[in-house]
Amino acid sequence: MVDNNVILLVDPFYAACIHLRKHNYDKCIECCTGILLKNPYDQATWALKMRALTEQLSIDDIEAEEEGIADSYFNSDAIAENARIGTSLRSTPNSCNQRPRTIDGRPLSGIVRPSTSSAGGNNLQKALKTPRTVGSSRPLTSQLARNIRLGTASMVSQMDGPFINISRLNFSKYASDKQLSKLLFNYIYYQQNDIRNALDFAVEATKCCFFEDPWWKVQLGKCYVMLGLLRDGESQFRSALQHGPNIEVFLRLSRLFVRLDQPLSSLDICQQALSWFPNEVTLLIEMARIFEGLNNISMSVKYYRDILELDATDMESIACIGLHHFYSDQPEVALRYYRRLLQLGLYNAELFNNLGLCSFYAQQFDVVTACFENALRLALDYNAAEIWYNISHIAIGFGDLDIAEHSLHLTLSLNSSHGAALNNLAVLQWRKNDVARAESLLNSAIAAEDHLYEPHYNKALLAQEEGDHQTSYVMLKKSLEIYPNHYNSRDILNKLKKYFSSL
Amino acid sequence: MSLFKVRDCWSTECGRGTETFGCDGLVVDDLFGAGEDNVILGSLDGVLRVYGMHAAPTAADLHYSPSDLLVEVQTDSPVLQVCTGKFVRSVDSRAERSIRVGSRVLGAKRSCSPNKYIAVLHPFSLVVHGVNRIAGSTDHGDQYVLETMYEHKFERSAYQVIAGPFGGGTGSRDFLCVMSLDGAVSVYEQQAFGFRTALPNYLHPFPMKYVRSADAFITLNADFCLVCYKYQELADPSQKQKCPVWSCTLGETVCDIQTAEITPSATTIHVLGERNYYCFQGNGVLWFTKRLQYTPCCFHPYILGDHSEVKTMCMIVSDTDTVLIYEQTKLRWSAKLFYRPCIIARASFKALQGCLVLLSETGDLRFCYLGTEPMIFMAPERPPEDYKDTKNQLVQLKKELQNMSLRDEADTLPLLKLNTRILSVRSEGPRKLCNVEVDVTPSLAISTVQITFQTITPLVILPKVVHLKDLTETMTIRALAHRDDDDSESVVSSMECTTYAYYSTASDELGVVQQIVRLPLSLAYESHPTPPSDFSWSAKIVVDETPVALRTLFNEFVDSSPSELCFRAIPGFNAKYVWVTAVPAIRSYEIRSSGSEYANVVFEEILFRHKEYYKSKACTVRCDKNEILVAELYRIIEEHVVLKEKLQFVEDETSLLCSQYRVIQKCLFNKLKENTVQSVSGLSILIDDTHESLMEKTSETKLIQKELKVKFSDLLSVTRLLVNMLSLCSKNDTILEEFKETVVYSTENQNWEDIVLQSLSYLIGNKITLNVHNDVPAHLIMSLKTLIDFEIKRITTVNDEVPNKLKIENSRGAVSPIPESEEDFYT
Repeated sequence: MVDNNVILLVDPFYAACIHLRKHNYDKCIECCTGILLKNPYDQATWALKMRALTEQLSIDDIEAEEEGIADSYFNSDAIAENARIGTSLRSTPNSCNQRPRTIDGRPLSGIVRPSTSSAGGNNLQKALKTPRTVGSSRPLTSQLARNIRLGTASMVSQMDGPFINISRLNFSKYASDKQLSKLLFNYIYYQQNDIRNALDFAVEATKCCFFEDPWWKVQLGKCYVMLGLLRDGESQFRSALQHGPNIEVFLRLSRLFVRLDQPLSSLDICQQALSWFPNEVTLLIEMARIFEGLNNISMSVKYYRDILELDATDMESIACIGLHHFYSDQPEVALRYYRRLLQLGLYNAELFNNLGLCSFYAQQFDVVTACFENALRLALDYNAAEIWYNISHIAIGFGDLDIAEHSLHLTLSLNSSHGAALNNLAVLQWRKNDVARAESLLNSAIAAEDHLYEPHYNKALLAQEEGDHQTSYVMLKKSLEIYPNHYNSRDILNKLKKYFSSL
Repeated sequence: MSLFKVRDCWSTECGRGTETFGCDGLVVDDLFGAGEDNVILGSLDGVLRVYGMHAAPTAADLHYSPSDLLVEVQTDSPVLQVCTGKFVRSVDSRAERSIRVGSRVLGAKRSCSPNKYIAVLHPFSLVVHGVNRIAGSTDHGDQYVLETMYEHKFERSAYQVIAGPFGGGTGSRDFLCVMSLDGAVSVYEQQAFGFRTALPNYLHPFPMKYVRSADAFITLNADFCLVCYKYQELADPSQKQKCPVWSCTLGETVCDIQTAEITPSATTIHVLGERNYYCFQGNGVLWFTKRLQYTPCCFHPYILGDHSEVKTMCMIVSDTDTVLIYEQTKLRWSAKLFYRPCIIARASFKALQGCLVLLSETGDLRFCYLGTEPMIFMAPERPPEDYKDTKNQLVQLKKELQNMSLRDEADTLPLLKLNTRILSVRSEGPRKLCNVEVDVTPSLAISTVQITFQTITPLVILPKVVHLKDLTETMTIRALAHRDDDDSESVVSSMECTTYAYYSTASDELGVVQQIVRLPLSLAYESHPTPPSDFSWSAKIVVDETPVALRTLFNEFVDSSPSELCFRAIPGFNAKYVWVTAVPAIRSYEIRSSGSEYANVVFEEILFRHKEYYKSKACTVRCDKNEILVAELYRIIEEHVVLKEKLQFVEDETSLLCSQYRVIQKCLFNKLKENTVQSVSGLSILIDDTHESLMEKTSETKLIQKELKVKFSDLLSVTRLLVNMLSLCSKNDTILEEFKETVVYSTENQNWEDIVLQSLSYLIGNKITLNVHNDVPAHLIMSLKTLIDFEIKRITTVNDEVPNKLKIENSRGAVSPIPESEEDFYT
């Protein structure tokens, strides 16, 4: 019954359309190429191929945004250096020091996302100073981050040269063509990733529709943001919003304010958007993330809970709430959240690691080993270091310092600039009375990650014991700079001050 | 792995997996009015199938049985779409031959027959079929026959067919509307052709649907706008320009458009975009929208509940093969699917209300329900571990860890043999070239080998790196050694050439073999007949045996037997000489040269050749320890450090200028916005000036870099000479060896002084403590001097009498992770 050739009677253009609807981009492009070979002037086919090529590479670029070093460096918007507390993502208050910090010195989040490092260093200096390990290397520019790669990938797939030669395109002709202009813009923007030309094209096109079409305004705004002209982008987005609310525009505007380091405006925008689109999960996520960035964990968790009301499968929310419970000393609650993630089908090293840690602190010792075994089995190089580090904690908890030391060594073999591991190893060496090694390890820890206060404090203690009060004083100062409310540091500092004044 | 999965209760494969199904080829409708849905399926291979679920008491009893396939017909043209409706106005006489289910009163009705017909869209025709049931008299059950009612043929290739009671009406008759690929819309009023019109602003076919409450068609135009055209307007031939009743800019292409009717007068329009899901009311008001965090594939909206509490539900399938079920924008359930369907629908059977109907692209049809699937698999319980055993194992492991050392690896024999041969030197104009041949002999098959030659500048060897693959037999590699022409002023500090071979076998065993050979002396020196009289450095090598005659010692340079032999360094612009005298009377060689840095190669050569000559016996060679040229070394180190400081200074200035340049550029860009010539005139002078001085600084940097290179070669040469001489009067060989390893360190881009200082201070440990900052260059030289003096003393004296220990705090700061200069002009 199937051996007949009825399927060959299907119109090739129809087949191409259906393939595109089913997201079979390659087959669609193949069909279109076939038709275009016969009739090179078939505009509909040409546009269809363009659509397929674009959709093949287009990503949700709101999510994929990442600010590169060069962007923050060449950022010409004047921003107050000393922003008021709670108004900037770059100078978050250090009050909450229970959570460990990432290599950029940001509070740890429950989930890794492209923008977690976006507000990392407040200038190039800090960005460069944070050690450049494999895990923390930041892209040079946001352009380079993801998009360029996608653009070049497209060239490889077409051995016979690019589909459309942008430089030879008559912009004014195509911009006035209402049928093609939007498709062509998408092609230039997403597929070719040629932002400059896309901007030129959008300017032409918006002229042709008398600055009336909100779609073009959004595209202009997108181009401006990509080119780093954030304020111009803002005005375009705001103008687009006058035509009617749109989730995407609100999100883009909010992201733009995050890049401008104005989280409060960003929150404002989201609130405004929520009044139009109540229960919109993406907006809530945005707000939760900003609150997390502002170190306002309780608000962040509140929003994450709201998200779970609306979308109970949102892994980011579950992970973040789980993390919050873990660091507020409720490991058994956190354990339930992580188990939920496991039920949802997540199966990776990080999850098992978290499960292991939670069950350890919740005193369910029987599953700890199994969890960490699973985690190690699934781990890749970049996260195996962290897992070994956690195993060392467990070992310290069980009192087996030998194993702790071995696992710390393994951590360092995987990630030689793991500050916390260096610090802990130093403490273990110190316990063995190997002061010289402890000191050198502490020095390495400080050099590796200078946002940790523990190595500074330990070094101060060590120096104090050796009678080197000056070093001790300097280190305590540094420790308090990072964590102003550290009681022990203050205590020793006061003693030192008394001692110095008595001299 | 997910706990939440759809459970399938009825599944079949249509056409043994070789058929292809489109995105419109499935419709679910109650054909026979029996209260149970039928699934009508058309494939692009032209097969039309009708499925009906057999009666089953409970959902658990549901499974596929062959009698569920009611009709299967092969047509001679692909089936693009199927739809159902009341397409036949009157019952013709032919129908009387069979009993049609659902219309018991045959022929009585003159208006529209209430039972459903199937409209099948082929690329160039539209065929309406009726399904007739012939009641079976035996156990086989009923027989179903497809009957063609009428057929419309058209010229344009079709894309979609829309059925509905166009133009209002009581709902007792349905018309058909065919949209073709080129945007023409043809309406067929049952057997009659209605009209044909073209959609405006059309480029690609997008799904089109009929909205009953508004009596209008909705689709997406080329401008990414959702547009709604009244049926009346489309039907009106006088209106050439069709205007939409309402439109809404979506800004993205759509996957699918569906309608769901709450009541016949209230239709909701559901649109699945690329990133968003929209729901409109029939009058074009956006009811709600949701931004999707995944790429959707297909969807199916439906209405639940009665009039009082109507719920608008929607199932969306994501590209991660998950079905997500929303009530408006709230996620109610999500479940993993078995595969990615291209169509999802919902059907009701007596045994199972509202089950999911999934159809894959290859024809895998399943009826499913939402459920959970706990993992049945349980990991087998571990055998109770013997804790004593594990404990012992741990102890054993720890022991092994402690005993482990890196030396263990060197025990295995290398799998590769190297044999490096130096061929004769030939001149090519002013250059002297020397061919080098390496025989690589593997003892086993080796998959990859990398051979690297290492020489000390200014000697170069080309090619520097050779890669070999799949080596099974001896292979000879040729390379060419010569003095670097661009670097004519540097001193040749050593004639050694090291050949490294890194190899890996197919089983990923790695290994390294190395061999050191001496390149011929004539690459760097030539004999000179008349020795000049002035020399600045001399040394005496005392030997126990008779010194070898110079003629035998340097047979490639001299033919006669002179008492004195003079070498001139190549290239000799500012002629530098080294001359050697063998004095048999006092059993010594005497070396004099115009600079100590030129002597090392000759010195090494004499030692080497002397030992070669007296191969059979162990000869003793000594030299006077007072002749050791420590002062010379310090002078060169000082000069080297000064040069480096100078370079640093110039580089700092360059970076300052660079940042200045960038600031001016920035100002320039800002001014450019004003678009006048005056605004940039002052800046242009400034930028030109900065550029000029920048260029000057750069050329200066280049010059200093060159000088630095020459000085470094001097430094290397003198250190080598120092070590060679030390070796002749050494009393403490292990310390000498360590000293040699640390000092003779040819690094090109790293800081020689710092490295040597660090390693020496590590070697010496706390026997001597430096009380200075190592950051200041003057102190750096000082401490280096102290350390080297101490080392030399340790080497040359018999017992290493430790000088009294100085305990002064070493206040070196922590090393900054970023050595490069920080440009902070902007912050």
